[in-house]
Amino acid sequence: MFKRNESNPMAGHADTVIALGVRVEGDFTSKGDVVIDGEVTGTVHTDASLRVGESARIQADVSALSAMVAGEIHGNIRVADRLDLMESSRVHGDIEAQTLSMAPGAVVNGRVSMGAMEAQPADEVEGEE
Amino acid sequence: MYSYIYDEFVQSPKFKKELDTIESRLTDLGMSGKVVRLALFRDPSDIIAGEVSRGLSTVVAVGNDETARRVLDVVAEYPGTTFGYIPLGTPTHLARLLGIPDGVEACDVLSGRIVETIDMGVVNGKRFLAGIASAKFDARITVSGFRMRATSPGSLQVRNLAVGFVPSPELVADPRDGKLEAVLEVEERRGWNPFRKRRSGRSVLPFTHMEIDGDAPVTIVADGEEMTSDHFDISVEPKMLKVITGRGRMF
Repeated sequence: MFKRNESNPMAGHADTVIALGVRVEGDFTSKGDVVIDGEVTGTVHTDASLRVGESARIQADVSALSAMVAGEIHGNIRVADRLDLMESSRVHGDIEAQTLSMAPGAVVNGRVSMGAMEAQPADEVEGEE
Repeated sequence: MYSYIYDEFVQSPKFKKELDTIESRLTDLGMSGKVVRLALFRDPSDIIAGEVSRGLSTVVAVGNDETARRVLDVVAEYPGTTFGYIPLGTPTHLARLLGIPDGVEACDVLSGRIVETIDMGVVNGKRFLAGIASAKFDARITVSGFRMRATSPGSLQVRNLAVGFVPSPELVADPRDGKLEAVLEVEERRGWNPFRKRRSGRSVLPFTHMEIDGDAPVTIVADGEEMTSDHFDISVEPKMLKVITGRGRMF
């Protein structure tokens, strides 16, 4: 694993980065931190934190321990802990989170529910085995 | 018990003085051993196999990164055998990653005997230690469960350690974690204006098994060796190689 990410400051110490200019299709699962700036179709799951950048376009159900969203998600979001929706975020789907933070300008088209929920562990994690 | 594999080029007069100094230092350190000199048509695998069967425990490549690659490819076949490296000539990027100084100073690193057991990568059945690079990469990557493709041609590196010269340790992957890292760099044009600045993205994906499929044949360079195919199967062999490293190793 890299000691730290080389170029993307948003990536921080992310284990996996799907950058701008990359398209992912299928069931994407991870146990580590994930940053998405590209396009994803299918499902996204991580046992750790997820950052969805401003340029990201996700057409997938998303689940994570915590998440920060600045891009566009078409799909349901399930976050066990804290979900931060930044001002540029666009969510078209239902949201489940323990704690929700919404910046002015953030768009949510869907049902929002908050309260106690349990994290769903990744059954199988490729790249993090 | 040590065996020193001298590459053909280090036997030239240019390296004689340095080689004499190294041999003298090894004797002082009580590490002298059998010297095997490679020649044009002399395959190191037969030589090393013979030495290992006679109880050899440490095989030391004396030469450059190409020498090291040829030797460690064979050493990895024999669990329990340790790989050492005395860098002479160029390039010696691998030595730098392992924290081994050039020339006679490498003898003291060998003597210090800090042994790490590290992973090796395998691409289409061929092992690599440092990594794989593909400069003009435009193919589909499949990791179990999902597929990944750049929207425009980019460059791909698959790292067990690092590819080529690496300026700082932050850019080196950990070869002890049982994973390889794919790094896909793509430049994305912003809008229709060709003069407008492009944005580049660097995707990083840790994995244990990956397949690459190209619509046309893809050329990769694995530890300096060029391979061309429309399909590559890449995986990691965890804890495959015992290698002597210096304190200044970059992982």
